[in-house]
Amino acid sequence: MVRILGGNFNETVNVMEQRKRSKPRLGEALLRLTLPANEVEALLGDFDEIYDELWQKKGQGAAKRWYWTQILRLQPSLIKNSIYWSGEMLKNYIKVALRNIKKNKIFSFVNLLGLALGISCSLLIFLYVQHEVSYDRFHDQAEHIYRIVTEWKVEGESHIYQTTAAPVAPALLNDYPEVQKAVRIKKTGAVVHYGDKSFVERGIFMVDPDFLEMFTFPLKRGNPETVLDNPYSLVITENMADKYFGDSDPLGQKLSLWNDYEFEVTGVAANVPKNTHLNFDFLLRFDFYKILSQYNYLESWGSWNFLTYILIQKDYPVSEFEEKTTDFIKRYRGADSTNPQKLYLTPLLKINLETYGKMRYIIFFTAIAVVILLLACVNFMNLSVARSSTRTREIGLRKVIGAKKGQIVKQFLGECLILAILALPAALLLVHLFLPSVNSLLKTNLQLAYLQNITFILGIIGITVLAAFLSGIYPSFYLSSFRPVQSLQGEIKSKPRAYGLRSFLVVFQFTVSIILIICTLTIHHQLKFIQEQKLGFNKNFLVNVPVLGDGLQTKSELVKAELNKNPKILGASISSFSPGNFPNQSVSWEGQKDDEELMMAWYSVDHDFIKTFEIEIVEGRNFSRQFSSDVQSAYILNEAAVKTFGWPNPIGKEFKVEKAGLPMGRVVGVMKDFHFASLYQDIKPLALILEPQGGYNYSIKIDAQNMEDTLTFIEKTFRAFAPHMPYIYSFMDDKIAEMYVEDERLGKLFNSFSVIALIIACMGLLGLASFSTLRRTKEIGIRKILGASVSGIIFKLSHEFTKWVVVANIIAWPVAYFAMNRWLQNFAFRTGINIWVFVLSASFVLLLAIITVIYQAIKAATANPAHSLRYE
Amino acid sequence: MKSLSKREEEILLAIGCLGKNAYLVAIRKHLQKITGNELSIGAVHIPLQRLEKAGYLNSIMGDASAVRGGRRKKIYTITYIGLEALRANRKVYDVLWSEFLEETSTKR
Repeated sequence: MVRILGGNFNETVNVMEQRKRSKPRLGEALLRLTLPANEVEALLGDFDEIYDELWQKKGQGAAKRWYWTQILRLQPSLIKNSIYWSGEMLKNYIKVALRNIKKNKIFSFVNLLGLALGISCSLLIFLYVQHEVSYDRFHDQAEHIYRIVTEWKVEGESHIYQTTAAPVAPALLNDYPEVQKAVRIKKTGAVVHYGDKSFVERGIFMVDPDFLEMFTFPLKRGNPETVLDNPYSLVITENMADKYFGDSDPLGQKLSLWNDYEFEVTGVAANVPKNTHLNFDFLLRFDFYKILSQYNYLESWGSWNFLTYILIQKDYPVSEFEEKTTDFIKRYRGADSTNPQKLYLTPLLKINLETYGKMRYIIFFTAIAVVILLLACVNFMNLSVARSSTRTREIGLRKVIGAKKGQIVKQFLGECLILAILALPAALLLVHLFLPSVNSLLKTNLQLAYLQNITFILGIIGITVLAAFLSGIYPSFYLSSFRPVQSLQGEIKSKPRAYGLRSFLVVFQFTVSIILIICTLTIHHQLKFIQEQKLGFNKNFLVNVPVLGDGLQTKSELVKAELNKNPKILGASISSFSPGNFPNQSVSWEGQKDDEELMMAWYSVDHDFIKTFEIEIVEGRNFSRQFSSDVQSAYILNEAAVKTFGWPNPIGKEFKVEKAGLPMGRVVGVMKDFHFASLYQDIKPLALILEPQGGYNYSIKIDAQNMEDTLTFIEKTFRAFAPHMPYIYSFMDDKIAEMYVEDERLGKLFNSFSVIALIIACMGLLGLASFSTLRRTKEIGIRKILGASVSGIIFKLSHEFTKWVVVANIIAWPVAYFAMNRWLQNFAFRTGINIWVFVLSASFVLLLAIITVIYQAIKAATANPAHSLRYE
Repeated sequence: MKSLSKREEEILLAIGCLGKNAYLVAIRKHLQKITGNELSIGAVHIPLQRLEKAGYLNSIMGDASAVRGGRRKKIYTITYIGLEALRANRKVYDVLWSEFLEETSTKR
């Protein structure tokens, strides 16, 4: 014994040495799988021995090569047998699976429909996630491009802004060798004229010429290096070339922008892909902004309004670069400058996901996809376990003739896979059907291009297999655990454990449905609340016409006089007001301390603004034409502003918006707070300055009657004043509704998800109910013979299911309450969570569950007991 | 009794030569040495399997050895009918060879 132990010890040492020679582990695993079980050990030993010898003689490479060629040459003869036999078994499994699917129509229908819905939802969401994640990945240097963002500290609070000052880019390029390229972008819009065509264009980007080299936007025409050399050169996309020039050659054509400036088309870019946040239609030189704004913003360190992107040297540590930027700011803005605190770099690939907050959507949708797929799988689990008794004989027999537990598990998993594959065509059909509505809802352009999208095909396979696995894993282990003797005697009763799980799963399904319904209703409730909220001004019958030609700004008094001739027009005003949008500017006020700084919202308005919007003046007076000194120096503040400054008597106080060229002004009036921003926020301080030429929106109050005529009149008037201007109008209440599109969208999504969840849950309930009444036919027959009433039996059959729905409600309520409470926190102005929403969704789901179950129950209860008891 | 293929015959003979150390690697090495051809594991293992199934060979699991990662060898021994089969083969060869030699020598 001692000797053997000693020997073993020596051998262990040797073994340790052997271990150092790494064996192809994968190869060994493969061998293990395919070699005959009784010989595995010896053969593996043979392999190792030769392998080691070869290693010593010829080195690792030769040994490895030998190992693998051996495996490959060994396989055919060894596998042949196992494939043949597993092929035979597979045939049998498929046959049995298809028979089972055919035999029980309701069961298969419920499962197929559920799986199809679940898979199609997951696929749609897969497409969406894929699209969002692909943003800006197509740029060759995507991984080394960063956007510069700035951190500002205002009143102790830190804010991140996406924009920088114009000189930042050239300075970075000059000071830091690791910055290889720096490009500034100013996004803007303009009216574009060509001949007698004119359109409002929004995708106009003023960029540094390196733009085309940093980002990968290939040109169809023109040389990327020289295309933007001339200050009046213009690059347009193919779409725009078609739109303006049709078939004729775009190069060398002249387009006029902002009425006064003529550009020559020097290049045509391929259409910009959907998955980029740099979605331009026109490219101009960045320097042109100096000409357009008639102010040298290019050298101003005070105006932080431009996007800056840098291409940084490969593998350069970004955090190190960010550390240096504090000095950088001090160097250029002076040592006493406090803001911005620091520059940060946002990787290009994170802009869509993090800056634009798509990550939240992705997480939310993925969660929804998983939940819906799970709901569908739960149906399968429940029904298979409930129906297990019908298959006990088969399983027993298989075990008696030598099936192992693992084989039976595999068989049932395989059945799920077959079912999932059968559901796949229906799922793809659903994807095709719903893709357009998903696209319009999410404002995306998702495409089903199977061949170009290998990941999507992998996604299809993955999701199908996942669905099969999720739904099959529990039933297969449950079914394979039957003991052959009992199952052949037909003695298996559903175990209490299985029953408990089944009710748990049904409860889970309904809990999810109820949560979704409550969320849907609450979201709609809140949106309705927002629409009906008093805004502090009258948004109804207010027509909005943007000023797109310069003449309309200077001639505003004439335009308004012309408009006011129509008795149906109750008032007209020009201002820079547009709901939800407000410029922020630092302000100076009487009593300001040295260390106090305040950014404040402000609008340029005319004399008629207060009247047209029906805003209430609480103190002082409105702007007046009698005081010509009002222009550009009189202010009306809202109550929130007055409160911020802490003035007991605001009228006559000194105040000014820090805008180029404005003198110190005075407060002439105080207006009641009104909601100029969305209801997500409290009402912030706001200043109105009398400056009619600063307005770019006409707001026209019209009478409710004969609106069509009035609108035509308005259009004619504007056309008369500015014949070349594209005329666009919108109603103020629509524009206000636009601020809540995101939430509207959320509401619609919840709507569809809750419908899908409900359908799946009800299908499952239908399957379970039909099965359980089928099993209880005899019991019902006996009950009836012993004098049970039809209604009593219906109650007996359905109360179990309704019990589950009630339990589901109890679980769902707190969860939904918590979730909706969180969501409502987004709004500064919100409705409470209404108890009726809960009661309503509870009773709706209960009703639906009863309707689902009751048909089966009535059918069973009214059947003639003689029939059900005849056979035994 | 089925007649042996050439490879089977070689393997049986090799096993006889190797005595108590007749396991796959040794057999393969022995044959490679004599024939000078590289043999794959399958080329040795498959005939071994066939011979064992036909009852020409017995096998026992030997001791573990460190060279083989602690795995045991499968050691083969020739059975009585194995020997019979070899002898039968030998007889065929003997007859054929003697006739062949007679013919060729007389013609010359």
